[in-house]
Amino acid sequence: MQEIVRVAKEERIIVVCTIHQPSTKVYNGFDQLMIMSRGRQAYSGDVNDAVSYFEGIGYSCPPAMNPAEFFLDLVNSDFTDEAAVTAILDTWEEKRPDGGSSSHHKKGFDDDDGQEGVTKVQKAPLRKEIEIMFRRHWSLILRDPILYLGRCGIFLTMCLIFSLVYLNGRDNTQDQTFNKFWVMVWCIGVPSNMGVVAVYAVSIVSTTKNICDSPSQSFPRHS
Amino acid sequence: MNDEFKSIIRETKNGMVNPLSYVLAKTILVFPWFFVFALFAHGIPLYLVQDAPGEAFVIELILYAAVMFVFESVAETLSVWFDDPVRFEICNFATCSSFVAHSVL
Repeated sequence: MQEIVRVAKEERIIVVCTIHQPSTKVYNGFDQLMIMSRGRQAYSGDVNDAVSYFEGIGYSCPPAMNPAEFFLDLVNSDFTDEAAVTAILDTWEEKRPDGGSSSHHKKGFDDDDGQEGVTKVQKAPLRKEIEIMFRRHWSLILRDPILYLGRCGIFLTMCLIFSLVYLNGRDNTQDQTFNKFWVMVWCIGVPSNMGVVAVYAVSIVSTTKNICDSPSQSFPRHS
Repeated sequence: MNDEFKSIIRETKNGMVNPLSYVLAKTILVFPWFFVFALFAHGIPLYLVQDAPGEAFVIELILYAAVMFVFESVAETLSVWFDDPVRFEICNFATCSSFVAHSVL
């Protein structure tokens, strides 16, 4: 867990963990916590506020008990009364800080790629969206400058080699026609095709995960 | 590229982003790089070493940047079209080779 937190801090990334029964030590490493049951949220927010929230709705965590274990038992109808689980889910729907902007289906879903269960999302205006996209791509370019600067170096080196190999093609004489032709072929074709290598080099790790078939989800510290 | 594309598709499906904002932001940020690429690829090798006519420098730079942008776009399209890298390579090689032949001739 410490290693994950270290990597998250060092790379300035968000790590999303889907975890069922974390130990107290692992649980304490998280920043944010989302508890889910039947595709609905039972809690989502700061990990330090979770115990007090459940205390506030009448479910106090017993002393010396792992909070994660307590929460998971609480939202699991195998251990808690069915009606009580529904009440906990409904209570969160009413009390959540964002006023329940994201509602959830109560049945299964077909689309594996989508964020299952979410039917309504608060959408940013187009101007804000474009701004976010700009910032995201700018960060990607800054994080991986080799993708662009590296290509500049490779293009220069390769084309220099070609132009030196066909150095005689400098002369504007008839017998240098083929040399001129070939130096153009190499200098146009090779850098253009190098784009393929660059496209393969681009790799973005998507951290969006399927969250609905998991009873709990937590977010470790990253800053 | 596939991962990037899949992540955008997922975000679009979830209603988080509009594909237009992605295409717009990416094009505006990436396109100037192709002028830099064209400069590095042809500036010294062709105009200094090969003594290409200097009066064609600016227009050739713009044209070659545009050509490279097309190649890059084709490569990106094919990379999300085919999951199999071998099929992608074959298609890309065939497409780009035909472009190169056309550009030179």
